[in-house]
Amino acid sequence: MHKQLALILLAAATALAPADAAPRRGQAAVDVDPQNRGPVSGTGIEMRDIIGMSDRIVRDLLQRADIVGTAVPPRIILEGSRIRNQSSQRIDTDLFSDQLRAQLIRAAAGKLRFLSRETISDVAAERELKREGQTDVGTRGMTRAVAGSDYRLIGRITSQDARNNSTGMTQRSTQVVFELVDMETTETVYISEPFVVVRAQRDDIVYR
Amino acid sequence: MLGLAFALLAAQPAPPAPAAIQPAPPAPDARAIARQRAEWKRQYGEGPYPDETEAFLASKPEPLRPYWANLWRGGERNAVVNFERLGLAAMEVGDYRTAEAAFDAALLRIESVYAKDRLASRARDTFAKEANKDFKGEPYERAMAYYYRGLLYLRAGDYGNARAAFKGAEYQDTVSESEEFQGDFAMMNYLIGWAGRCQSLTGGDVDGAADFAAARAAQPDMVVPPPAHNLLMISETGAGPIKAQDGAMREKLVFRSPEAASPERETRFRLGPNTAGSSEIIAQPLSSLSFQATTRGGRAIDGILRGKASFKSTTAGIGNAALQAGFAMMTSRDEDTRNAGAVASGVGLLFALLSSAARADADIRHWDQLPETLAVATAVRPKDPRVEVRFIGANGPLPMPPAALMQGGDARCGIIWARSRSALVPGDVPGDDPRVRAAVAKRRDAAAKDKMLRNSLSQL
Repeated sequence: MHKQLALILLAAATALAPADAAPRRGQAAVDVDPQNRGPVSGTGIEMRDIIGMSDRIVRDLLQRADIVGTAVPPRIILEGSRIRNQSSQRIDTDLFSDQLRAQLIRAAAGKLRFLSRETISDVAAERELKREGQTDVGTRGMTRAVAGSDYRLIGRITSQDARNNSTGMTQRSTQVVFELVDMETTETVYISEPFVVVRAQRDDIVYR
Repeated sequence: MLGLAFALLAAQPAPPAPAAIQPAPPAPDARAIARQRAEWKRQYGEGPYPDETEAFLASKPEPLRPYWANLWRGGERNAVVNFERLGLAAMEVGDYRTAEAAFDAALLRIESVYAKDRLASRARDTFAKEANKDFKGEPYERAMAYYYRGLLYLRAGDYGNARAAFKGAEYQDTVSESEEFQGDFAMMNYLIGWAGRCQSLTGGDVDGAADFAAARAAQPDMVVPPPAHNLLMISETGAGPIKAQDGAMREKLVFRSPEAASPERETRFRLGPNTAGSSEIIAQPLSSLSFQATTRGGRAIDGILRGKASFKSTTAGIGNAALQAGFAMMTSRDEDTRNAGAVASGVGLLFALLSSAARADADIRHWDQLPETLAVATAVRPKDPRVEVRFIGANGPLPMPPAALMQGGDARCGIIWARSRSALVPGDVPGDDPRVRAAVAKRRDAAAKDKMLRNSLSQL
């Protein structure tokens, strides 16, 4: 009986013992390679996905002699507003357009020209000032009209969420596809390989 | 306070020399400051200290100060609900930038996975209350955080992210143990459809038909907005559900409606000038939050809490029985029986202690600003932006002007959002357990997280 009581006391003491010490020290800011998985990640699209996807598209496009190898560089419009987020992840689509535009401009080295329709009202105002004589003509001269585009790069982000309610596992599949559309004929002259990310995670049971 | 005063004095440029000799102001007493900080250290631990709180709140607008203060003092454990309360209060006072930042911060935490979190594992512990965990809210509360963020995206004309937010809200409704309760949040399906339709006005092929159909499956009376309609009107009325504990060991989480029936029976919108010929548009109720809260069909943690309650009642039963038997045996004339009785009493006492140490209480912290009913109406957006909102009761119009009114969107897709009840509610997080709160705040890991939260708040 005394031995049993001692065992019960031991079990109670074990159960009541505090959990092992938590990491108490803070974490100073660390540099994380944007192309690698960081210390914090979720099931959605991350920066490393955007960089990797942009890199693939740049490589694809630069191999297309019918687009990049022409004597006169084609003009392309690429804006975040034309990258349609139809996924269940809230995301700033400018992340995609800025990354793509920067990588394409740098890698194409003049073989592709990009038009900024986002600033067209600023351009129109400046053109008017020049033509009214309120400013001089600048150093590059004037054109009869603003540049027209040959292509527009558009994209679409879609996703599918799934959940296993018995295990609490959640999974999100995200797909991103880009197309280069001929602005004269509507023909799709290039479509990127679908970039698919599937990630799963499970929250603690106290939140399920 | 002395520290702040000292800092302010130190930051002041030297004043020009006065014409007459003035008595010099008393120099800050370094020892008094040190004593004060030592006292605060004893009282508040790692903080926040009163001078830090005062300095933080000084830059915040008056109506939102109580919510910022709760957030500042509440730490990570209550950060989600405090961000939600701040966000909705900010929407009411028209501070949309703060509202966006607050709901973004709440959703960031809701979407975080607590894979190896010590407070989450402590919430599962038999001898600790569920309320130890960081608050994320029940699915209906999480859905409403996505919903309000979605409304703010609609206001800003960002229809893709609005749709993503409403999808996040709808997804929370699928987090149900029971299949029969999944996907019945008609309002969220409706808003996914509406945002998709707005998005397709700039190109694309999302017409929202499938989402309107899903809303209609949950709410058969729902009217699909005609294609020409480009103005969405949302009305929120009544007081949303509150949480309570039930069961012998307070282990059951139950939802109660604070009102038997909301006095607001109907919401009517009048667009443009209020002239004799102008008509009112009646909003159609689509979802009830009490229904959403009570039809989830159970939580995974309910099984753990039932186990804790069972442990508590079983150990109490054994303890009582052993104590009674032991005391009875200790009155025996036989020495061996008396000794056995003493041991039995000891074992009984141990079980009684284990029972009293077990904590089966359900966590009843909740978001207290939520409405009961969500209703919608649509129209062709008039050029005149004036809008009048009336709440109608059983005997006619109620003397209840809208507590909040938000208008936004763009020419393609507009939004009007109105609430009958004010979100500027007083007090701290309702349902919080002050003892658990104080105990968690003393944990060094929690204190470190709280300090990081306060640092991030200072940058908001």
